[in-house]
Amino acid sequence: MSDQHPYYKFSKYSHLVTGEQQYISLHKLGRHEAVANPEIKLDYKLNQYGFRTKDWTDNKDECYMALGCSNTLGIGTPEENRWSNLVEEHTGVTVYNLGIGGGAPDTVTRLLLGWVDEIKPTKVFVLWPNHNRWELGKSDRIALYLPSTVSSIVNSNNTPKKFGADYLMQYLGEDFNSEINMIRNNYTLKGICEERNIDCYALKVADFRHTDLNNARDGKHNGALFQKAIADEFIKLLEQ
Amino acid sequence: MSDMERLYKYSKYQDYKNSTVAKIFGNEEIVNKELVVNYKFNEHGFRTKSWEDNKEECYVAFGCSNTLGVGTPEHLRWSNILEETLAKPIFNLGIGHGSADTVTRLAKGWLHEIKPTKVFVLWPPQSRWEVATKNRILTVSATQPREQHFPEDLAKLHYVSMDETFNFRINSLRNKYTLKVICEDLGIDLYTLKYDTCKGIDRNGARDGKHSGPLYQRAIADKFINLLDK
Repeated sequence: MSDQHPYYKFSKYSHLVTGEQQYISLHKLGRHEAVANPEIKLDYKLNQYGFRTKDWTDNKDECYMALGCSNTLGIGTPEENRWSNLVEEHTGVTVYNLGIGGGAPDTVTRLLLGWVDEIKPTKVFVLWPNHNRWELGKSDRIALYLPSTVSSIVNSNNTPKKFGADYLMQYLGEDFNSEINMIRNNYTLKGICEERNIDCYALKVADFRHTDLNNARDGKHNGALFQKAIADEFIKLLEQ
Repeated sequence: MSDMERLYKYSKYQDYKNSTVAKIFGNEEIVNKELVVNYKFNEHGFRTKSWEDNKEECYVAFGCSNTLGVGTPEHLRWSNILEETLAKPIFNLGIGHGSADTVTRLAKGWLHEIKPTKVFVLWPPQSRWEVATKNRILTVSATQPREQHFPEDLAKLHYVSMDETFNFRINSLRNKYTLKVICEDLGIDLYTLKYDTCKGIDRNGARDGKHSGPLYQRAIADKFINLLDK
């Protein structure tokens, strides 16, 4: 994929890593990230590509890949408590975590297409984000669209954003669009993995949403017990 | 049938169910008058025979107007030529102005019911996609605003969705994987070509003077036969 469009590899955090830096550490990922549970201590250490994971550039060992939204990236959760790190600890194989905050099912298949032939994992783990989100390539970045952001876009005075909001309202207003988009992404994940003989394991974030609710540092995301429950479920799938 | 199922199976020719019409849309031109064309729709709104009582081995064809055969007599369409050559019924689920989304939506909606052993797809142009809205399916296309008086709301849809080539390229890629896996799961052999595979052959030769004519359809059928022979 040498002529691959740069959007395929895009992380919305890549602009935070500048110059020759291999990693950057940040106390918060977003300006508005709250610290509701201050007893949880964490920093976000991002690699040179803008992902909260180790650098895979020189990796020669067998490795796995984890994809998903903020629940995979681990917003408000120390790195060692994330489900992908727990799976890594259990299996003894490095799991590169390409989770993106606000990520959609589209994000999962885009990043898989973008990175799979470079990282070369033998297993892929996906925690599917909520299916009523999606993304579009726009103005040198990937714009992520969530139902919760629609109203703020609608109320913005910025005219081009209002166009975007109209599209969102029509699209998100119909469950069918979200459902079929999710189905297409699911088949795409399966197709990409089958083509490369990669084992693929997938769970839905929605199935765990009540576990350890609001107990991450930001008081909005689920906490460490949620991460552990997901890791346990993936480990069960591995052992089947 | 649930609302969801109805949308998976949706054909925009609902009004033509079980009927024959001389034109498929109001402003369809008749430029090449020597071609006699009627559009006969089955009970589900597709220009093909009914599959309801079919017990034989059968195949399915998907695509856009070049598959539906806008401006082309039914017996001269690529799917009908294939049907004649292979001596198996081919149900044609082509939709005018169809997109890659249309192909996978209808595949998900109908394949488990029609149960074909082979599927033939003439992939529509990449720069189109579908949006379900108010109980119907609309196709949004990059070329549409230039060609038609596009309603304001759809122009806005176009503005955000179609101004980056990347969006319809990745959409096309996702649809290709989707169709491949759907067919694999159902044990169906899949054969695909792109609509512009035979671009330039019999250009504007259909009755409407806009679509490619019978020689194009023949060339597509020949290409599929070559794929089958491989």
